[in-house]
Amino acid sequence: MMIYLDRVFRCYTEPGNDRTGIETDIFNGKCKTFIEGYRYVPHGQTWTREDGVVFAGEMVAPWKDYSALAAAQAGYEEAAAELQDMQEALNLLGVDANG
Amino acid sequence: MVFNMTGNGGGLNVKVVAYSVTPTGVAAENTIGVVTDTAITGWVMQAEQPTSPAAGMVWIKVDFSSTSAFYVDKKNMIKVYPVFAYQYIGGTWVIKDSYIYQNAAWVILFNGYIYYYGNEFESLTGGWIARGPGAIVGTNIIKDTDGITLKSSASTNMQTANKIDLSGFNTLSVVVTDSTANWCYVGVTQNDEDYFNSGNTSANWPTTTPYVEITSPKASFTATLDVSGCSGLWTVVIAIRSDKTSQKTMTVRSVKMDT
Repeated sequence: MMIYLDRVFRCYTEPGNDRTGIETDIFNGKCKTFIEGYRYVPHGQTWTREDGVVFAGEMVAPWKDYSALAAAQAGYEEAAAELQDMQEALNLLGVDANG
Repeated sequence: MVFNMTGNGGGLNVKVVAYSVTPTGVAAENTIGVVTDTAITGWVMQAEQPTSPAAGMVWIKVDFSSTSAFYVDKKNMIKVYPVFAYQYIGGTWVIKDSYIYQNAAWVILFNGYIYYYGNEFESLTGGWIARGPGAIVGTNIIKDTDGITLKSSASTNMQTANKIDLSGFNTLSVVVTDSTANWCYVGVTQNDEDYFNSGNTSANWPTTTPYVEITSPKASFTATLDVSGCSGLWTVVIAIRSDKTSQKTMTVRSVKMDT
C-alpha cells in the first residue's frame, strides 16, 4: 500500500503538502487511525527528534500512544469481522447486497 | 570541576552502608545501601574510577543525570548524581546492586540503564535471557564481565526476562562493539512469540511492533529506538542477524532508557 511521510516521517494514508509517497507493506491490514499514529524512517534515512537524538532507518515506532492505536485497530478488525459475517450471511441467503 | 568525597560521610548528607540483601526498613535520608558480602573499608563518590583503591573500597560513580540526585551538603549547594556503586574486590572493580533511601523508601540506584558492562540489573530486568529458536545462553549468547556477545550464522535474539515499564522514557539506546553483524535489531514487544529471524524479518516480528534495523553496522555503533509512544510494560529484544555466509558476532555493552 501507499503511505505518505511528512518531513518528520510521520505516516499518513493520503497525500498532502510536504508529504512523500512510499510503497510499503508494513501497514497492510491496519486502519487509518493506527497508521497515522506511526513514524516510519526508511533505510538510509535519519530523523532528528526535537531534542537532538538521531534515529537511523529502518525504524518503525508509534509516536502516539500505542495502547490507543492498538485499541483503534482492534475496533477496526472487529467491525471488519462483523461486516464479513454479514456478507457471508447474505450470500447464504442468496441476497445480492450490491444489487 | 573534579568532585571527590571520601570517608564516612561525616558532615555530609549521605552514608554508604553494606547490606547482605536488598535493604528494607527505615534509614537516614540519602543512605546508599550496597548489597555485598564484602566489608566496606571506605568509599568515594566521584565520576572517574579511583586509581589507588584499597580492598573493599566502594566507589559511588556520579554522572550528569540520575533519578536519585540529591544535595550532599547541608546547605544545598552541592548536588550529586549517583548512578552506580562498585566495590574493589580481588583486585578489580565489581558493580554491585545498590539502593538509596529517599522520601521514606528504598529505590534502586538507577539512571535508565538496564544493562551496563556486565551488570544485568536483575532486580529490574530479571536478567537477559534467550529468545526465539536456537538461542541459548552459554552457546550463542555469551555473558562476560563487560558485555554480552551474540553469535549467529542465521539470527540470535535475547530479551529482558521481565517486561520493562517504558512510561515516560523516549529513547532506548544500545551500545554495541566488535560487531561483524550484517544486521542488528532492537525492538520492544508486548508478545512472547515475536523474534527477529534470519530470513524474512517480518515473518516472526510483526511489522508494526516497534523496532529499528541497522543494516551493515560499523564495528562500534549505537542503535536508537524512539519509544516515546510505548507507555506501559514491554519486553526489550536485541538480535544479531547474519547473511548466512559465516558466523557473525556483536557485543552489547549497554542498554539505556532515556527521558
